Amino acid sequence: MTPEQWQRVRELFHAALEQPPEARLAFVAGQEEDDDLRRLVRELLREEPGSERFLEPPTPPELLSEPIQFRSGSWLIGRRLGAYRVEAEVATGGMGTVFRAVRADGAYEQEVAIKLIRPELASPLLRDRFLAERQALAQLQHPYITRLLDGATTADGLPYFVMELVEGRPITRYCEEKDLSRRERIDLFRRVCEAVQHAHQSLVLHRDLKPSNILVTEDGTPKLLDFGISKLIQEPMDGEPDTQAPTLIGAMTPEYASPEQRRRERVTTASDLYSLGVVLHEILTGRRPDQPIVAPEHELRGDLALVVSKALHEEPERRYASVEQLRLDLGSAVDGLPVLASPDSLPYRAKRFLARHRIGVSALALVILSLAAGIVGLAVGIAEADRERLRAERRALEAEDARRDAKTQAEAAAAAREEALDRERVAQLQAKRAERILGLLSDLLLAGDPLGAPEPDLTVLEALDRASSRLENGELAEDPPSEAVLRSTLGLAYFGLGAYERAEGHLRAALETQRGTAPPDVLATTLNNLAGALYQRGELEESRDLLDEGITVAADLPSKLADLKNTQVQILRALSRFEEAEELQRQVLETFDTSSSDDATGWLSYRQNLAQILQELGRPKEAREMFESILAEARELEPRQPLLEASLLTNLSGTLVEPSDAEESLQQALDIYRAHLRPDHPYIAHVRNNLASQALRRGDFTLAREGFEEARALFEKAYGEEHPSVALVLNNLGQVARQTGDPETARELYRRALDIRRATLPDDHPSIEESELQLGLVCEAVGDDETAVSLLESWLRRGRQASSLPSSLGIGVRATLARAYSRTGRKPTAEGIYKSAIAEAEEKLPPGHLLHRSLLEELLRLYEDWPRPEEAALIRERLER
Amino acid sequence: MTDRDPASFEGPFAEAYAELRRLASAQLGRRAGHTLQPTAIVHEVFLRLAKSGEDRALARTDCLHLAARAMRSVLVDHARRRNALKRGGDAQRVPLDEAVAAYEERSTDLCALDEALDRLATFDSGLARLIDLRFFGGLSIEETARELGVSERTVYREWQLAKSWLQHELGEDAS
Repeated sequence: MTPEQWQRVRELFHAALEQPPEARLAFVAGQEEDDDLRRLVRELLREEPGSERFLEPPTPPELLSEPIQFRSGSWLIGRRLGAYRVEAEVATGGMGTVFRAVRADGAYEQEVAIKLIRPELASPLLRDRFLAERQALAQLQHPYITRLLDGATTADGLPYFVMELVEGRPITRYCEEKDLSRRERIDLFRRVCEAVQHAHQSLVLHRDLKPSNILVTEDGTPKLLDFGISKLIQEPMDGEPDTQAPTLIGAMTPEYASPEQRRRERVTTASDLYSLGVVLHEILTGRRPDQPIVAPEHELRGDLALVVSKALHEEPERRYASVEQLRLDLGSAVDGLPVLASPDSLPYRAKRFLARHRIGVSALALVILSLAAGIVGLAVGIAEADRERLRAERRALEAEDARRDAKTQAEAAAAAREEALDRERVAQLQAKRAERILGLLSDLLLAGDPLGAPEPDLTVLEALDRASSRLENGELAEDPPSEAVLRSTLGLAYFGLGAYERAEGHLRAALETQRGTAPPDVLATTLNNLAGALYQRGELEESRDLLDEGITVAADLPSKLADLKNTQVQILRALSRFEEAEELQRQVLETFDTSSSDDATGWLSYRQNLAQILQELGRPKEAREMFESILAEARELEPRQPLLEASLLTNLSGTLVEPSDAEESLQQALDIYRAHLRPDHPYIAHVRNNLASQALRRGDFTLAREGFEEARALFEKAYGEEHPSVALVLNNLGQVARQTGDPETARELYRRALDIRRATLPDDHPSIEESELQLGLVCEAVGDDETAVSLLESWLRRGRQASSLPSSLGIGVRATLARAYSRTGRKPTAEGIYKSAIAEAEEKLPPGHLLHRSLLEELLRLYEDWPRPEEAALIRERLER
Repeated sequence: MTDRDPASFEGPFAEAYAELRRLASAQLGRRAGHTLQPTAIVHEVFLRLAKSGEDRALARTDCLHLAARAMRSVLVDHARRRNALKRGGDAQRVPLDEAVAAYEERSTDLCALDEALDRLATFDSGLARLIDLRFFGGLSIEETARELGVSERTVYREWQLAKSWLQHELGEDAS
C-alpha cells in the first residue's frame, strides 16, 4: 500500500466512524472510491470494536504509583502571571503543577501558590465554571482550609489557580516523622474533620481528599488544599469525547476514592467521608485498608475499628450521616464512651432478618438478636439526644456569659469547665439509662444464655410479657423515643415467636411515636414490621396502606424498599394476585444486592418466595426445580439455617407428585421445627396440616383427621378463631367428614370456613368461591336445597369455572343445582339446566362419559315425575342407544 | 508529528536498549516472583534519556518514543528467542517471559506484531509510532495526545484505526 492510498483509507474510515454504527457500511459502499479500498475500509470497520484489552498496555507500574508526570511548566519560572511572579516549582500532582509565586505589582509582599492545571484537564468552560463557583469558594473561610485567592488563564489559555501558600507536609508523613501517639493522631484528624464539616455546611464537597491534599504545617496546623477545585474539572464537559472520562479518573487518586466515585456515581458528603476514613485508617495503622498489614500491633481493635469501618462502609447511606458525626464518635471512642458505630452486622442483620418476615433464626436467637438491635438503637438515639441537649445548654450558657460581658479568659475557663461537665453528665445519663433498660430487660436476658442451649421458648414468651407489662405500666413514659425503640424491639420479638397480636400492639404504639419524628429508615422498618404482623393476622387492607406509606418514606433506601416490596408480595399472594406477585418478586430479586455478603439467607428467601409463586401459578415443575436448587444452596450455608431448610422442605413437598416423597419431605421439616420452635408455633401447624392432607390423599382418614384437628388447635391458639388458616383446616376437616359419609358434620365445618373467609378475605377471593361450592354441594347432599341453590347459583355466576376448572366440574355442579331445583318444585328451571348441561357434556366430554349418562337418567326421572311422558320416552330412547 | 524513525538515532537507541535489558533483569532480581512491569521500566528509561537528551538536543517526544521502541525491541527479541527455544524442547522460564506473556495476552505473537508494525511504518509511520507509544510505552490516550500535540479526540480516532488495522492484519490470532 502506498501512503497516498492509505491516506484515502484513513479518511474514509474516519468519515464512516462519524456515522451511526448501523449506517457505516452503507456509507462506505456509497462513496466514489476504488473497490479494493472500499473493501478494506469495510473490513476495518467490521473489526470494530475489538476486545477491550486489545492493545491496552499492561497495568501501570506499581513502583511508580503516581501517574508519570511530565514537567510542563518549567518555562514559567521567572515569568509573570497576572499580578504574580513565578519563583519556583513546588510540586507536581495529578491535577497539575504547583509553583511558588510572589506579588509582583509591588502592592504588598505576599507569597502565594499557583496551581497550573494540566492542559488536558483544561477546558474553555473551566474559567466560566470557576467564576460561577467562586462565590461558594470565597465563602469557604476556615483556619484549616487554604484560601483560594483567584483564578485565571495564562496567555496561551492554560487555567491556573492562585492560592494561599502552605508550607507543610502530608498528614501521613507528618504523623510518622513527628512520631505522634495514637491519641495525638486522632486529635489532629478530628481537626481535619472540622474543616471538612465546615465546607460541607457551605455546600462545598472536596471530592479528592487524600494525604497530599491534607498538609500539616510545622506548628501542627492542618491545612486542606484544593477544596472545590476537583468539581470544576471532574464534571463531564460538553463537547468532549467519551475518552475524557478515564482521563478524569486518572487525575483523581483511586486509592482514596469512595466506591461510588469509582463507579462514577453521584458524589455526596458521604464520599468525602469515605476518603477521610481511608486517610484515618492510614494514619492509624500505617496502611490503607486495601494494603497488606505492615504492623500488626498498629491494627485497629474495638470501638476505633468500628468507627473506621463505619466511615468506610461500601453503602454511602450506612456510613456516618456527617463528618461531624464521625468527629464526635472518634471523640467517644478515645474517651471510652459508647460509639454510634455499634456493631454493624449484628443488629443490622437481625433487623433485616426480622423485617423480611421469613423464618430463618431460632426463636431464642431471634429474641437475643433483636434485643441487641434494640439496645444498640437506644444507645444511638440516646447519645444523639443527649449531645443535642447538652450542646443547646452550653450555647445558652455561652450566650449568658457574653451578656454579662465577662472577660475572654473567664469565658474560656467557663467553656472548658462546661465541656468537662458535659462529658460527665453524658456519662451519667447514659449509665442511668442503660441501667434502667437493662433492668427492664433482665428478665429476658436471664431467660436464656445467648451462647448456651436454647431454653424452652415459653420462658422467653413469658419474659417478653413481663417486660411488656412494665412498659404498659408507664415505666418509660417520660422518654417516648426510648419507649418506641423498646416497643418496636418487643414487637419484633413477639413476631418471631408467632405471637402476632401482641406484636401488633407494640408496633402500633411504636409507630405512633415514630411517625414524624424518627428517621426514615427507622420509620420504614416499623411500618414494614407492622404491615407484616397485620398480614399475618389477615388484616390485608391496612397492611397494604402501611406498606404504601413505607414505600414513600423509604424512597431513597434501596434495602428498605426491597423489604417493603417483599411484604407486598406476600399480600398479593394472599389475595391470589399471583401474576403481580411474580412480577414484583422478580423486581425485588433484580435489585437485590448480592454483593453484600451477609445476605445469602435473604437472597435464598426471596428466591423461595418466587418458587412459591410459580407453584401457585400452576407451574409446579419450575417451582420444584427452583426449590431443589435453593435447598441445595441452603444446605451449604455456614452456619446452617435449619428453619430456612425446613420451610424449603415444606414448600418442596407441595410440588412432589408421589405422596410418599411429599410426606417424607414434610416429616423432615416437622422434625426440624419441633427441635427449634416452641411446640405451639404456627409453622408447626402448617406442616401438620400439609401432612394430614397427604394422608387424606392416600385415604387414611383417621390419620388425616388427627392431623387436621391438631393443626386446627394450634392455628386457633396462634391466630384466634377468625383467621384464613383456621378456615383452611376446617375445610380440610370438612372433606374428611364428607368422604367418611358424614355430610351433616361436613356442612357445619364448611359453613364455618366460609363465614371466616368472608370475614377475613376480599369478596372476590378464590377461597371464598371454593367454600361456596363445597358448602353448596354438601347442602344439596343433605337436602338443604334452598341454601344449595343460592350458593351454587352464585358460584356459577362468577363464571370462573369456565376457564380454569375441568368442564366436568361445571357440568356436575349444574347437575347438582338442577336436582335442588327439581326437588323444590321448580321443574322448568331444572329442565333447562339439565338440557344445557347435557349439551355441554356431549360437546366437551369423551363419548360414553358416566356424567353424560347420569344427567340423562336424572332428566328422565324429572320428566317421569312431572309427568311429561312424551319427553320421557325420547330420553329413554337415547339411553337405550 | 515528526516522521523521524527513532531507530535512526543510532547512539541513543542502542543506549536505551541496553539500559532496558539491564533494568529488566535488575528489577526481576529484586522482585522475584513479581510480574515485570514493562511500562515502569520504559518510564524509567525515558527519564534517563530525557536527562541526557537535553545535551543531544532530542525532543522529549522523541525520547519517549525511543524508550518505547527499545522496549518493543527487547520484548520482540525475547519472544523470538523463546520461539526458537520452544522448537528445541522445554525451556526454563526466564524473567522476561512474564512480560512477553503480558503483552501477548493483549495482542498476539509479538514477532508477528513487530512485523505488522514495520509494514505499517512504510505507509503510516505516525500510526506505527502511536502504537509504540501507547502499547509499548504505556501512555494513556491523554498522555499521548499531549506528547503528540494533538487533541485527545484525534488520538482516540487514530487509535480506533490502529486497532482495526492491526486486527485485520493479524487476522484470527489477534484477541
